Amino acid sequence: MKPVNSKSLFHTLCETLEKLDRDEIDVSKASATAKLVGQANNLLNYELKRAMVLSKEEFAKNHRVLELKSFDSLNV
Amino acid sequence: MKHYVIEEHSLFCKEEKNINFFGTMHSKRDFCHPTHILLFIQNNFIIISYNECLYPRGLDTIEEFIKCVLGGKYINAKNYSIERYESKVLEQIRKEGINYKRRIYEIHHVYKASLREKYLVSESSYVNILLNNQKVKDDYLKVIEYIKTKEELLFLIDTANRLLDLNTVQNDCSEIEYIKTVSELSKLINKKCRNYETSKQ
Repeated sequence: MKPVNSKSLFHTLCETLEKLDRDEIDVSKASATAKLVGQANNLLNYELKRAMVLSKEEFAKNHRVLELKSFDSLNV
Repeated sequence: MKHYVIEEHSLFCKEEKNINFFGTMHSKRDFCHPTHILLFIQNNFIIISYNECLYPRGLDTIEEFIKCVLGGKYINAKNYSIERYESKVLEQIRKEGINYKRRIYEIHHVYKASLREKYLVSESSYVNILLNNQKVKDDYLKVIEYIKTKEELLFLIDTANRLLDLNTVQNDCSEIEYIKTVSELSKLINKKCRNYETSKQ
């Protein structure tokens, strides 16, 4: 397991691009890597924005923590 | 950080004994001092200590050491000032076409020649240097700590400072900048893959 952050994702994509240009990997592998990194990037983006929003005290007080609370529509 | 100590003396140093110096008899080895050099190779600081008699050729020796570690990579000697690095790097990468192939110099050794600063350099990937800033700074702290424990190495502190200065990329990129750039790169790869597939058809 390798720790992942935005910098390491950036590095991975740069390496993939270089390898693709040098024909060291095929298109399907490059495409799969790009999609995977893209998804991981979306997740990082979400986490970052969430942290930014939650750092505002006023918002944090009234924020409904989705991970802990059950949905209103569900009768659990 | 690594410190290599080569304790050998040359055969020449051993053989030529009994030199008449100021009226007393000495062996040549009595005047053979250890030499210490500090190099920066692949994000690591390396100190090499060797006896003068073993490698009397100065700069050529240092070049050979570097080539040895780099596996025979081509090394340049530059005498003009090495480019300083700009801020807002990632923004530029995104706007001016993604220049992920950019190469810049990694400075291995700094020395003075004709009152000017000269460098032994080799080409390296810009992205690698950009991403290894923290690693270089950590290694710098280690090397400084080590140098301070050895009196004979204290003169290398200035070189270490200069090498750190030359081998780190100054940038003020935030996390968001990286995320935006990753997203652009991901799109670029997908575009390339599509182009490749359509050209195949």
